[in-house]
Amino acid sequence: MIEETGIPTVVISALPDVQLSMGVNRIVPGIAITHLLGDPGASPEAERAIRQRLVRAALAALEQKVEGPTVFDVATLAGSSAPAA
Amino acid sequence: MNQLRVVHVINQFYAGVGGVVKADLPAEVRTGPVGPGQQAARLLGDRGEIVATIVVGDNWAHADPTTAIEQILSLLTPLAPDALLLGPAFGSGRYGVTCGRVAEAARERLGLQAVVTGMHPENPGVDMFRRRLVIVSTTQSAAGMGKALERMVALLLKLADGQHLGPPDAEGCIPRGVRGNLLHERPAAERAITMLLDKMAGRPIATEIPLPSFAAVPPAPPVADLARATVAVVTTGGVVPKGNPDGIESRRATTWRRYALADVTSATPDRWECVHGGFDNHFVNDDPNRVVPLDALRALEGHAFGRLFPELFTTVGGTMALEQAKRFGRDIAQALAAGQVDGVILSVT
Repeated sequence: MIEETGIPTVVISALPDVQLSMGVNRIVPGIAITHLLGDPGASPEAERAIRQRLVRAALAALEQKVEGPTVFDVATLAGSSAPAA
Repeated sequence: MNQLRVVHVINQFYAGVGGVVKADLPAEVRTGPVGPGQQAARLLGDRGEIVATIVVGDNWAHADPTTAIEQILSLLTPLAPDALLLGPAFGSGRYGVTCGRVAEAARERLGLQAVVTGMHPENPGVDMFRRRLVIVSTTQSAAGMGKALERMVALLLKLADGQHLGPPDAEGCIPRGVRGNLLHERPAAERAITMLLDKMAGRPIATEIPLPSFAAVPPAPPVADLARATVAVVTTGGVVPKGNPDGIESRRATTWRRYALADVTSATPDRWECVHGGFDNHFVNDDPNRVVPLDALRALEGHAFGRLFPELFTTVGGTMALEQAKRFGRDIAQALAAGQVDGVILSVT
């Protein structure tokens, strides 16, 4: 609904296939349903890095032109932005 | 048998008043059938009589819909109808929405059971009302008038008799999403195997449980300049200020909320919590950034992207009806557009 108003929207989801089947245009896969943007098993620093990487990928996905529902690869996108200061 | 008192609702165009230039016409009552009502009257035969026609201007009905509906109801009530026929509106959006609004008001406020309208499946009124109204599926244009009225009158008479309607494709109406029980002569296992064999052989199959279809949304253009972009965070993950001040339900949520983020640098567990009832929340309650990544966004704000929109939009997505979700989506989209947001990160659980 948000994309319909012309505002690009990236969905971070642990179930990217479901989002794809629903026709979501920009999809970034999260880690898991119970910790979408984090990893309770990692150290706090490592977890913050994981989360920053996902957010970077999500931001980069907003810059991508898409023709239809697309699942992005986090590694590709997160690497394409400048590192955090 | 007593004849049914039927009232027909049509717009100014079909009443022969005129097209768009006459669309400001306030609702008025005419005695007996008008325009397409003539044919409906013939189809009713001795089962019913179109006692009156309410003519409604397309624009008038939309300028102030609440007042318009009240006024139409005040015209309708003294006519003491047994049944209400509306349209058909074909592909006309304003006409279709008016038919839907009047039909719904008549059902709820006058307790009318026999209420039937007709629309093309892509009429915006279909999306708004198909779950609550009987809408005959029509062509896009008035070329299908004859057939539409035939179905509409047939269903109107059925409903007036207190009969249940059969499956939508047999009745010629738009699916309401209602599942009914019926006795089948063959058990489910047999039907499923037959369907599988048909599928393997490449023969056409018809599912017994159609899944909701999601209309394709054309992709929005990308953010032009991320370094200057305002990015908002929206979530269906049920992250709310600690204590859930607005009582967002943990499932089948009836509301969404926006919460100030101006002074928030991280979604810390002392100020935020997760009330989503569809998954084990304890990892998120330990660190709500795991659903609303405010710590990462603040770290990236000002260089990787412009600025974070100073409000979080949140609800619980679990077991939400599609229609409700669509309404939330529309409302949130409107708020984002009003806030001149350039891009949105939507985290869903």
